Amino acid sequence: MVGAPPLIQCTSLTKKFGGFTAVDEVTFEVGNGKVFGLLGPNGAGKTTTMRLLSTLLKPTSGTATVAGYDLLREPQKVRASIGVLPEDSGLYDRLTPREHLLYYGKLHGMPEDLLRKRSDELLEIMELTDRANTKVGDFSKGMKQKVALLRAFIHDPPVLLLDEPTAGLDVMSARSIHGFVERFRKEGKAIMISTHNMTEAQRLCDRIAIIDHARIVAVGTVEELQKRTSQKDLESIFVQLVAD
Amino acid sequence: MNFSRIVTISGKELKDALRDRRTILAMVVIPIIVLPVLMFLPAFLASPERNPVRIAVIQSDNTSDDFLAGLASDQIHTIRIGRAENMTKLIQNGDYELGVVLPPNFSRILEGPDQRATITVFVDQSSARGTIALSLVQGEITKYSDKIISERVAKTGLPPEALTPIETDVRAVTVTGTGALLLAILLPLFLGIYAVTGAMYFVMDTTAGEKERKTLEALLTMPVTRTEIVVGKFMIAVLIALISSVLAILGITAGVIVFSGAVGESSALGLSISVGNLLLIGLATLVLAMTSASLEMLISIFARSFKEAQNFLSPLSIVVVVPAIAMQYMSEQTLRSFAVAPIFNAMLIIRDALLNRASATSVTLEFLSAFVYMVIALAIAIKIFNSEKAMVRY
Repeated sequence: MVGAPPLIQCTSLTKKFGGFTAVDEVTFEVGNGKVFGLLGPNGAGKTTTMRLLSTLLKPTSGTATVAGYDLLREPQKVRASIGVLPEDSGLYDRLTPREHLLYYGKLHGMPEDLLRKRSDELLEIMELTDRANTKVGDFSKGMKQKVALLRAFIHDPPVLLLDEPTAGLDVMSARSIHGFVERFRKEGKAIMISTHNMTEAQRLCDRIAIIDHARIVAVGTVEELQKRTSQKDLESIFVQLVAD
Repeated sequence: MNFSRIVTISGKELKDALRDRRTILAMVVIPIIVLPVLMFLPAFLASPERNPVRIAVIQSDNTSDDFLAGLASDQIHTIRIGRAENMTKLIQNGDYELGVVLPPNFSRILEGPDQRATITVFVDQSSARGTIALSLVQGEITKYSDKIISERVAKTGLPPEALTPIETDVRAVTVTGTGALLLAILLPLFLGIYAVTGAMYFVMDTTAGEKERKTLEALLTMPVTRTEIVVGKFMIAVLIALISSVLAILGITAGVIVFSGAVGESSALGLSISVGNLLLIGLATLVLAMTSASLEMLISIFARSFKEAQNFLSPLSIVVVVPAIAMQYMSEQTLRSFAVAPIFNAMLIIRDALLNRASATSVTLEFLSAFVYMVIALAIAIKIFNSEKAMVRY
């Protein structure tokens, strides 16, 4: 899809809460089949950026288009085009994984037969088929995160916003989530990941934005960032950029 | 607004609520069992027909045998005790509900034309059973006293009418039985309480609870409008309040039947409600459910956490009692001027329907006002939910 406009395009996106600036003039774009990492310390503005792109918050100034739709003018269409994994998995303890997928799929207006077929497929991919009818309240954190990720994918959206997808997960759960992200990158989705896990960023992301105190301090591929800072590993790059 | 999305949200809310033991407890168990039992059990237990009062009697001599024979009945068990016993202590210990000390020469005093005998009664009037025992014993004493008066008058040759120059003839004008009157007091009160408490837990859980557990964030990223979310949740809140109210009606009606039986009113309810009035009660119940559900949604959408919602909402279950109680003490004119006040309106419809007094004008006015309040509360709830504050306030 050469020449296709980027699926996520942020232009001077700014969010203020009273006198506090949570996101300051953030500009970046993510093309299809790309994984874009938002790397930064706690409170840097990663989650607020995610929430702006998922229309939960309205920008104070600037704007963004997601899948070609404007955040402010077409929030409903933006929401139909994104799959969101929030910071907290946000699952209903008394519902099963299958019930979650059916519920959110219906809210996306998916036809019943397609929805059932896709739910089964996704549960199979995440190896959750045998637990598909168990209430998620009994699940481990890793399993809950898998269900939340499937929820984000249920309607096969072109854009995925994953906020700290592997935070607090064991190695095996994190690996299967990484595998899942790789798989959907190959399908041509634009995936945005916020993380403070350097290894994850280095492994998954095509491009990385380092965000600190609400501003993007650097953006580029790992190689570009290495060149710019004369540092080898992402951790040193990060420390140097944030310290500057 | 997309109706199929609203139905999807309602469907999920209902499924989730029915799996929650706390919602089931508030919606089913409490209305049908706890409060009716709490209301009626004491009266049932205190009833002397079921459980006769125990009265200790000290006789100074056998001249009071005749009186004592009249005193004992199905409801009063008399037990003679020794003169040396400490009556105060026996009553305090709860061995007897009441103690009677009969004076010496009882019948001889009463035989004379102008003498008076004194019966000493020991009773703890702070206990319900003590009060019941006292009124029963006083009744028997009055009866015996009247008999002595008649005998004394007869000896003077005067006719019995000489003693009661004026007679009062009371004619009851109520068209309904005591059961209906009891229901007219209890039903608005209970329906008000259940409309508020039945759905309270669900509303807190589905609004402030969702915010606290962070499930709301995922829901808000779906292509649904916030109005659809509020309306979908509101519909289930109304349904739960309604189920809880209907179960409460069944619970109270069963309680009234049992209670009427317990106090010896074999005619039970004396209740006949026309289909129209029954329909009115049903509609008023729906109105109460809608009023309280919309108010609860409004308050708990504003709350940051479940606990905060709980603090905001708990007083509502006491507030709702006020109009129900106040109604019993207000004159008909004052009451009419409250016809458009929230909660009063629905409660008035229920009361008037039970007492067969409802008029088309007042019912229309009461319904309209309730509907207006509901729409206003819901509109504000949706406005809060639509504002960023719904998200930022956590």
